[in-house]
Amino acid sequence: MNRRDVIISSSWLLGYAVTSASLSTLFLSCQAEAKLDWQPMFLSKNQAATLAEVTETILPKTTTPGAKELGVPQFIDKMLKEVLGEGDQKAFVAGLEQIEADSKTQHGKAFAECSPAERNALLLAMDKAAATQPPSVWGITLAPPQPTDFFRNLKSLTLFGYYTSEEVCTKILSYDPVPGAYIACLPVAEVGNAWSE
Amino acid sequence: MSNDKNFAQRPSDIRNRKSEIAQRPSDIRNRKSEIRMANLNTTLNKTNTYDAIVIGSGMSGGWAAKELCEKGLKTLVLEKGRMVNHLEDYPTMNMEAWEFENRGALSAEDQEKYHIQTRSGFVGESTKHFFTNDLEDPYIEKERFDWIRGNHVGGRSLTWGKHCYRWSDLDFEANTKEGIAVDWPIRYKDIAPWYTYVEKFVGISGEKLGLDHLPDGYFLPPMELNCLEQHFKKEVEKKFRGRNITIGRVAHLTEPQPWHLELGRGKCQNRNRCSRGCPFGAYFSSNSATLPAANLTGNFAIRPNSVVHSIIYDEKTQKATGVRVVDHESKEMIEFYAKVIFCCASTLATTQILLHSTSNRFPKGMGNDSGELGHNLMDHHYRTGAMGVYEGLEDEYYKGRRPTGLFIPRFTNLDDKTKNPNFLRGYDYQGNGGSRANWGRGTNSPGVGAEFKESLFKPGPWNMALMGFGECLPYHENQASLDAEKKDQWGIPLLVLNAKIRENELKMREAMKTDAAEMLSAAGFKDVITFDYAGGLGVGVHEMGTARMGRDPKTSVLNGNNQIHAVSNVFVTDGACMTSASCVNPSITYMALTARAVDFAVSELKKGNL
Repeated sequence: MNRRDVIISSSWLLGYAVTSASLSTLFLSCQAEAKLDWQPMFLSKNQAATLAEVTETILPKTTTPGAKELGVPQFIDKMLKEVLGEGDQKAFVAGLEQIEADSKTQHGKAFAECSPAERNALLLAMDKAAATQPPSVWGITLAPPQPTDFFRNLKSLTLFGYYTSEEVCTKILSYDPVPGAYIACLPVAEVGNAWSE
Repeated sequence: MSNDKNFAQRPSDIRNRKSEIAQRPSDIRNRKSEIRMANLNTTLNKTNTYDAIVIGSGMSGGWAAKELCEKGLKTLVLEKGRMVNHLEDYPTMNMEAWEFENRGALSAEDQEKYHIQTRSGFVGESTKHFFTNDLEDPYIEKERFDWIRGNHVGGRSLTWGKHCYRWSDLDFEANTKEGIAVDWPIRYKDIAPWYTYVEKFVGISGEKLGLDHLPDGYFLPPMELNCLEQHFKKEVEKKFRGRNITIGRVAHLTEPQPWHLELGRGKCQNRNRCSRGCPFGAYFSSNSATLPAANLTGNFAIRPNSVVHSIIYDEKTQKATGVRVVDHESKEMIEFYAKVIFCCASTLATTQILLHSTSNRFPKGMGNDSGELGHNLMDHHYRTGAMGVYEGLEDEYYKGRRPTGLFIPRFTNLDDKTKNPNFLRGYDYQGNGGSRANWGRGTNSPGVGAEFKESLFKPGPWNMALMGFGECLPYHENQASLDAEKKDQWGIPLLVLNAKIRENELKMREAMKTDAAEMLSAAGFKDVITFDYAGGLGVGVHEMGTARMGRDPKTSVLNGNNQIHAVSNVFVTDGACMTSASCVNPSITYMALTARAVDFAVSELKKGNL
């Protein structure tokens, strides 16, 4: 399908200005630290705890694993540190703080303490308000570089972390690392779930 | 082949077959050692003297090396960057997404390191080692110019798009008919046998169409169009006379021939992870094909890490005597000598070398009597077209990641009937064709929760994008030159790029958009949107034209045999030689011109004329 093989079609991979300045000091919180069974490398423990609940709300555990079970929060924390530029990092941390602030204003409690319906409603409102990513072909974004909205970034990273995990690629999606022959037309029923790649 | 046909008829076997296939990556690693060719010879002779020197080891340099070596000339290839041996230097070729540190995304540090290369959209964690570090190797952009580079053995032949289309006399005659720039010194009949010659060795899959303006060649079996592409073809060919839909003609072995197998190359396995290097050697690159073939002759040596400083000119004999290089690491200057020199460093690097090769005879750069060296810089302009969603064929799917899409040959300005008065020349389309959306669609579509998650396990709607590729005219004002003061770490003046698309291209882009949207709509696509984001010149990665061929030494740098008019033993056969750009991918034309020029050079050498 490609001029060259596709890298990944998300605008946050394309790169903005990068600096080495650390953000952690800007968001030092004096609240009690949340309990977390892993050590974040970029976020504070409280921010990481919020992130974990948010990703689990987007992709909850059902008969298939949820985001937390597959390490999606840890993955996003790492991507924040290693991959995102300073502007996106700041927007991301501010976005997480905003989720907690909205949760307090609307429901009088922390995001983690909201009911599933309340959590869904909070995130869906943000999802509707956030600008969508511009179109892309072959992984090329077909618009000038622009900052990505926090929620779009969050959702993109959540899906990326989940659907490219080994568990999902090899056990849930249809995994075919070396296809051999190309079959041009074939009933979906013969394949089942979508190809992992 | 027969096995595959069976397989195609028995899709119900897929489940079983899939589990078998899942075992395979480890087999591949074992197989690697069996089919590994000898590594490229890097042992040099003691006198630094060869029959021939080739500068550059990419698409053109690989061919020059193979042809010179096979004709019995002791040949040294000078490559600016590091060694890349086939298979053993493809570290990511068998890696899965989750095995990468950042799942394939570039770290912030790498984004800085490749800050220009990333403009291409093709640089990720799986491919970054095949792109040039922009911080170490800078140039100056007077206008934004996206110079996408691969400074290592094999050059950009490792990461190329692999589409191969012949030119026709529609292209070779365009300049003279329209009074643009200068006439090509050759016609289709001069290059046609050389197309056949290189196509056989390369291995190109494609469908014959019988079109005069896109001549057929020596093709391996074409890849197949999927359900949606077949539907699109039927509708467009019915509703638009003269528009053809075909599968891309690409340098992938769909049915390897004995001469491919002898080099250890095998059949395409539809992984579509090509730009990491192919464990099967199924797509053509210098590394998998021309350099190993040259190596087998015993006449071949290659010196990586050799930054060419200049070509040495002898005022008495009026010929080049050799090449000065600066070692990439030690910065030591070394000279190599030869009777004939092929400059194949890639369009802009070749231009930089020639401009820097000054002498009393050539104060403005070697072969630059015309003053045209560095001018007429072209590319293909793209990143405009349309995309849409197709409602239907929900029960249909495909198997395998076919490494190409559909192709729509040029249909405008072929003759009076197809004339568009708004611009000269034409465009074609490559399709990101007819695939079903994957989980990535969830990023932009609203939703969270269990149902949302489960829905993304299923194949999404069918969609298609048509990406236009247009011809750029050769404008004298589009120029590459040397900076008067700033030098790189090897002491070579920085290249200054001052070029852009102009009115003819901008008008053409309007038609490229409109026609793409019209075809998608006519074929029943919904939510059709157009896009138009040209980026800088260069982003087509088809830069060319800065040392053009021509009939007259007063207005061109090279003659009809790619020979510098005034320096008979120096040949330029990379994109710098191009007199116009056509709208089709240029690599196969560079390869054919290279093989043709070597044939001429060696016959001249034998006659004592060089």
